[in-house]
Amino acid sequence: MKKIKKYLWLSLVVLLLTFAYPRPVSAASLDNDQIIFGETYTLESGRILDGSLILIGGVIDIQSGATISGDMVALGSAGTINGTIEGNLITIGGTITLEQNAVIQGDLITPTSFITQEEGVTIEGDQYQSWNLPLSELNISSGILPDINTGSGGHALSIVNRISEKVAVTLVLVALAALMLLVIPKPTEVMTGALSTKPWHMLGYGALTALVMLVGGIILTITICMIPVVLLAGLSFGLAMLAGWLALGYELGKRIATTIFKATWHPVLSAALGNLILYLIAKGLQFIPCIGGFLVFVAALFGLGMTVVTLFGTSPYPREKVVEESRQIILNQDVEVVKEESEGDGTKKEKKTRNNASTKSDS
Amino acid sequence: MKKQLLAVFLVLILATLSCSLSNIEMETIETRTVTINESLPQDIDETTLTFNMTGGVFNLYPGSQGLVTGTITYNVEQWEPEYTRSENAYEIKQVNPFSFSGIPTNEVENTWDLSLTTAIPLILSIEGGASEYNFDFSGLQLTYLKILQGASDSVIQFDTPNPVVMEEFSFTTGASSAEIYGLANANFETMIMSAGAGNYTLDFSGSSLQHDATVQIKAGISNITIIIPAGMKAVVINEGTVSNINTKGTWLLTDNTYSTLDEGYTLTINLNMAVGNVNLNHGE
Repeated sequence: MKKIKKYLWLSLVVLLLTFAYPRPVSAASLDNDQIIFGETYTLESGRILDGSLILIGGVIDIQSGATISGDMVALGSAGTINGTIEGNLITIGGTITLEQNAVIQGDLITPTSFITQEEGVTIEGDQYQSWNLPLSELNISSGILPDINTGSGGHALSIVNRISEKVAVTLVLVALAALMLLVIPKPTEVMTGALSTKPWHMLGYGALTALVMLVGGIILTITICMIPVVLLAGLSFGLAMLAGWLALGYELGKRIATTIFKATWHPVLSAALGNLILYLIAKGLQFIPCIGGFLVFVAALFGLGMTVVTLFGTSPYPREKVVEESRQIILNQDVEVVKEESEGDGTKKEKKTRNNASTKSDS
Repeated sequence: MKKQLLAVFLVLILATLSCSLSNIEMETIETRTVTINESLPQDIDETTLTFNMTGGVFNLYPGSQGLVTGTITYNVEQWEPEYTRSENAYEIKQVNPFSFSGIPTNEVENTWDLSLTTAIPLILSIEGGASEYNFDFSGLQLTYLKILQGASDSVIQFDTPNPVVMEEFSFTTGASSAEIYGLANANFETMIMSAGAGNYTLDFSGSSLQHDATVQIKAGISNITIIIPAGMKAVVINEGTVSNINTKGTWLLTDNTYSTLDEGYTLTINLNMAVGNVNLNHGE
């Protein structure tokens, strides 16, 4: 079983690397896009990386006179840039120092990051420190992944509009996952805990929920007067799908960290990396006619099941666990013990308070 | 049942890969162990030591009779270490750590187990990839320390004082978990920490500060625990947009500055964090 799991994870990563970047592990080659996981990466003075660079959880050193001809995306990473980036520089959850010779010809996009700019740094594009993502622009209910409004409507998704859609969707998912882990870490853990404990139950509940939504939606729509209910249910359904999908990505990230990298990453990084990989896998699977889309749908059902069964992470699954925990809490509290003893001519009642430990040993 | 389903899923994935499946695992060779036994330099006041490893396990500790002694064990051909020795510098480097094909598996080994001298002052620079680090710098004479690492799991300790003043301690890391203990023993003037996403513990326990010291912490999305021992005068200035600071023990809060009420040399910590959690623990 361990062997299968090992190859499964290995294959997932290879799948990602194969579809996303033709030569991902060979960073010595500088003629293509590079993706670096958790390593230190130095682009020496005078070298040109003819492509884009994605750095996840690593350390970067772009020396003076070095050039990246595409975009640079750094997730949960640290480092210094003293060379030229001809595209955009996007950092999420990291620390980057822009030294005096650094030139960013595109935009500098740095949500949830700490950036130090030395004197002399040139940024030719715009600078964004927050996402500026109005929720109304996310068409969540139309599918598993949020659609990005790529229209040219001025204020709308200003950051996302400036970078390619492929990168943008990924970044939105990564950001949402990071946000979810920061805002509701425990519910997310509850959701992934349910998946780890009873994965096939999640699939079953997910499928059942989707079926109920479909049939119920049709019936309620026919009544016309219940259409507002259908809309509300649809919105809840979309949110559940999204939350489940992000939690699924988080679980994937955790497993990649522990299985492949033999490390425990910060949950936010696991969520970011996992969702990045999950998204790319989903995109990659679409290359397989019929089955590919179906597999993505199945994966989404797992996520939906997690969300529904745990009520958005508020109630652990399986339920028996809750009962056990409740008992444990009661036992740990001070309890009143009423002890009855028979002594010769009558019954004497003794009432005293003891804690769990003494109760256990006494009884 | 699970096995079959996983196998089916695996087959589907493999099918998508078609011809690109070759060499997905990193190629290993028979394990090689290299013994390092570098003698102490003569008539030199200070030596620069540089270690540049790719991913693996790196253990460093004090007590070497020579400058550096120990072993390097590896089983990937491209990771054969290179050694450079000059009059006042010694370097061990794994050439171009990115120059490999395939994905590391459990079979891949790269373990550095080295001991350093406490006899002469050292300028120490360590660079590594995704690794597990166990560094015991107790008693080493460190005048400058630079650690640059990718996604790592590190435990760094200074159990006994550094006999010389450390001009700068630079610690740069990606998405990592790092615990640094006994930082007051490190005897640094300036510490600069740049970190990506991760969990970090900075314990400033140890002997009393011998002079004022400054710490610059720059971090992305992180959880940082700062431990200030009882009796140490510390000032923590929150310069970032950190979302949450928890305090334990007695702290005086003025604007964005947290101070202990002790006297003596001052440890000033400038905290620049984008998003995350900071725990300030002051011993009583």
